[in-house]
Amino acid sequence: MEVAKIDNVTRVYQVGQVETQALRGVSLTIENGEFTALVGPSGSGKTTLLQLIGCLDQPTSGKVYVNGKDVSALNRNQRADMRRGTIGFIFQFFALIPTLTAYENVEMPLLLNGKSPAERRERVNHMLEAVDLLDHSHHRPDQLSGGQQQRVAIARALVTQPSLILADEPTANLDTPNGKQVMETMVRLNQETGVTFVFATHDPRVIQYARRVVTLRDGMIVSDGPNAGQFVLEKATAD
Amino acid sequence: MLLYLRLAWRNVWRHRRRTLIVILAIGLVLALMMFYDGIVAGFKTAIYGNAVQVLGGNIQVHAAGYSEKIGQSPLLALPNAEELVAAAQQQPQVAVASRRVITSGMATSAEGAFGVSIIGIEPEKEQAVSLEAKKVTAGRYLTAADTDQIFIGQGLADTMGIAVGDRITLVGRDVHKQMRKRTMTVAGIYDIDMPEIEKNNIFISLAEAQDLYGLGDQSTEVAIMLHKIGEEDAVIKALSPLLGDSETQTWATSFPELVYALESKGKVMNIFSTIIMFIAGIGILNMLLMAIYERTREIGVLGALGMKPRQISYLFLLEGGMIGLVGLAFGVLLGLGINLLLQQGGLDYSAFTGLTEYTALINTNIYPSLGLEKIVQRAVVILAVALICSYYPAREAAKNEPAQALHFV
Amino acid sequence: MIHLIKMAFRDLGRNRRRSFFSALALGMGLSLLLLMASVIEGEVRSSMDLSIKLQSGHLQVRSLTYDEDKHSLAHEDLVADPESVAAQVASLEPVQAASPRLYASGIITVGEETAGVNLLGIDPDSDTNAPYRDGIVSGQYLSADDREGVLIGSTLAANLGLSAGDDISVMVNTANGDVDEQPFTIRGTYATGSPFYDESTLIMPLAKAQTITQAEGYASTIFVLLKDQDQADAVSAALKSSQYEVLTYRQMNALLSQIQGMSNGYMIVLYLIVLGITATVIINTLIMSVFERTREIGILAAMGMRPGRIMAMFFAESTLLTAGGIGIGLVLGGLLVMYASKVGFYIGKFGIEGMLLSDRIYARLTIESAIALIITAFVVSLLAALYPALLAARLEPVDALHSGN
Repeated sequence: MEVAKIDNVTRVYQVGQVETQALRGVSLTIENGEFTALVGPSGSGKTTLLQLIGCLDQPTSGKVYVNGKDVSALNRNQRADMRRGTIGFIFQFFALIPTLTAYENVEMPLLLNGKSPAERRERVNHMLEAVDLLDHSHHRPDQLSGGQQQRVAIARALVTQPSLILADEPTANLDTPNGKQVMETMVRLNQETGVTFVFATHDPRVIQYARRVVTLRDGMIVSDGPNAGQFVLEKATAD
Repeated sequence: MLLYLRLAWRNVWRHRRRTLIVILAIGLVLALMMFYDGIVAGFKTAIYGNAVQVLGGNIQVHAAGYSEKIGQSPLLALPNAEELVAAAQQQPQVAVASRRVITSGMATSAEGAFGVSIIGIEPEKEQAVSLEAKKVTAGRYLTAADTDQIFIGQGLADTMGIAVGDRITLVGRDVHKQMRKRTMTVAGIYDIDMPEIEKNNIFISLAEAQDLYGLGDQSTEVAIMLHKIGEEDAVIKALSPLLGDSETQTWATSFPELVYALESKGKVMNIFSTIIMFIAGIGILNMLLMAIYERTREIGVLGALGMKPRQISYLFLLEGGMIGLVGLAFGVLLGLGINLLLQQGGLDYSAFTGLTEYTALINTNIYPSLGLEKIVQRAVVILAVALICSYYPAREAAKNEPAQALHFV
Repeated sequence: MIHLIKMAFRDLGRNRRRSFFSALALGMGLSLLLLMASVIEGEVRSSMDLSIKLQSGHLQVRSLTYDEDKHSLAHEDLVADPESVAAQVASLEPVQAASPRLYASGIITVGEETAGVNLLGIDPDSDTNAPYRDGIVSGQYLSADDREGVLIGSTLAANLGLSAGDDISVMVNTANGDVDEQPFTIRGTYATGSPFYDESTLIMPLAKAQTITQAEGYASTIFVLLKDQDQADAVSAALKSSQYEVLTYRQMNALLSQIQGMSNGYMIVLYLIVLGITATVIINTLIMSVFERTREIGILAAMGMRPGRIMAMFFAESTLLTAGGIGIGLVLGGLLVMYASKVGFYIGKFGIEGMLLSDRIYARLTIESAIALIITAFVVSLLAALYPALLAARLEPVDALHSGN
């Protein structure tokens, strides 16, 4: 079953007098349970593509479907609803709310979804355990390392049990051991929960975790296929 | 909701210094308002307290049609004065009820002529509660049997250059519109520290006034002194069967101009303080605009997590409202502090004593109240302005597209 | 210096909205204070003008023992042969006009009603009494030889339901300490602009006033108007003699000056509070500005800019902001003051003997008070910049450069 479908989408940004074509006719289908990397140099359109799938942005032309629903013409409130229920985000910066503790950060999407206190407690603790940070739940972001912060962000993305997780350069601001830990957490959660992951990156150490690799250049897909580095996944699950 | 409160509250304190400065401004505004309210209340206490004592008791009953001609002190006889006095005396709240005759006249001595109110009183009744009777400085208070004896204040004695035992000419108009002239002897002089008030009144015995001005055994007023201010309405209600079409006044209604003056000043102050609050509100506005700019990315993340634009703007409205609330709390403390401090010494207002017939009633320093009389109204203004000033930034925050906000990095 | 101002201007332009709102805060505060200052000035000025016109004149010549609170008619308290004294005074070059006046206390009775009044005897033909002549609202003015006619104020007429042509009875005190009562006819009613005065003053020709009070050949005072009120002290000195007391309008309106002094004191406190609140807005704006530009300041410091110059940068910014705020304040306040000086505020009958007030107060802004306010606003705003400027100057370049993006 397909989670997201992009149909001949273009996106043009108007910055001052200059028009920038971020996407020039992209079509792509994401199936349930995928662990897919969007790769390409900066400016190739990775982030734009992620934001369109994530209902953060709207295409200039073409259609975007999420869970079979056309989201390209939704208004701001409808898009907010869509994001809240079905999509989780992980950003390259550690996008935690600095005034909230790790626990509260993870709890926030559940609050927005109006879940009961008991359910919230159970799910937040479950997710913090899944990312191995249960003992840090009452720390504020500035008391956590970069890797820990990003794992909290992963827990927050997954806590609503979305069908799709979108990650934009999730390891760009991390050193190698922390980046590895974050990627392995994502792989593990993909396997355990079956949730779909799509992540944008240009870091070869990250690309090797992907099962499918979609390569973009200048706003167009230039290649799309299974990853040669599949062995890493085998190795990770063997551990 | 709790989440919003928590987020907003923590955001308030993210830049402590900034927030404290804004709170200081709001606090100053409220303290200023409370200071003003406290002074006004202090005035009212000072003036009203004395007004009751000096200007004829808590309640006055006159014959129908009296108030229309109040400037002329008409000699309109009150038909059932005796009955009223007896009934009033039965009420537990009443200290003394007595009959009076009031007319305007002129007192002349070698020094000149002075317009005065001539007040006929029942000395044996009023003695117990009369402030003047307690403050006799020379001679004696009146007795019921006095005929050509007058009892005057130090202020009038000084102006006319007379002392106890001296004689003056007293002219007043009787019920037949004839001028009645009589030579009177000063029996006693009192001093209540209010020369402007003292200048205006000459007391004589009720019997003498009735005789002089042709009232027979009638009187023009029943004055009722209560044990406590504030029970006027209850007493008037209890007496209502006897009142008929007579006119009743309480000390507050007989000073409408004073109330008007204070209220019109109060209105100016309301507008004034609201404008000043808006100046402080610009502080909130600027601070929130800055916060939006600083938190662009964070707002983008909230949006990505599914927070709707409206919900994001609530967050900023809440933040502005909370700053208003904290400012309010600080202002209350500051205002209380200032007023408590001023209560120690009081404010010297003696320079204004001669200004109006009301300020003439102030014989001591003014002691401000705590200034909490209008605190609810003041608090509403402050919160409303804080919210109004947060509205613009809140709307701005909601305008941010999450995609752009996240690009912003 | 020019460079500094140019930089400050651009820095303010970076966050136009914030700069505008900060200047607006100052402008609002300033316009409010301008309005208040002008209303008080207008109140005092109009009160002084009314008093000079009606009560005190620029100068008065009185008997040494005269007490104006008593309206004494004893001959030793009065000025003898007032016409020749007035003529003597009027012959002085700076004097515009001088005429005798006689005051007494009276009660007027009409039908069932009475009212206490001040009786004023005037020379109807003298220019000093033009306000009454020009203020006639119904009926006619008096002639000097009228023996039965009086003028009453319009407020008193309304209170007693009287109009021109009605008869009243007037009782007054006399020189021998007695009282006298006589009937009069109202020739006309007048309005002076002061409801208090119009409620309490009854006017009759001097000759008749002298007769009824048994003070023939005497007057309470010589009422003098000058061509230029600034010469009051000089003329007063010239008239000084052992026989008479000469009072200037300032001495006679001492209560007014006292009230003015007191209200000025309160105003200064209020200025400081309002400007203090305005200052917090400016302080915060500049603190945010320092905060935003931490890295930039670090770079400038690293390039060798001295702390003093960094401070000067923020002072320049504050100066520009203040100038903008003052501009807004002058425009906004100017409009408010213009409105208030044209339309005025209705205050009703609020005057008293020591301070005549018309029933409507018109604002009046003097250059002095506007300049004083502007300077105060400037000083307060510069002081407000001190803390943020110090904050910026104290930044260590290394820390500043490290600070977050």
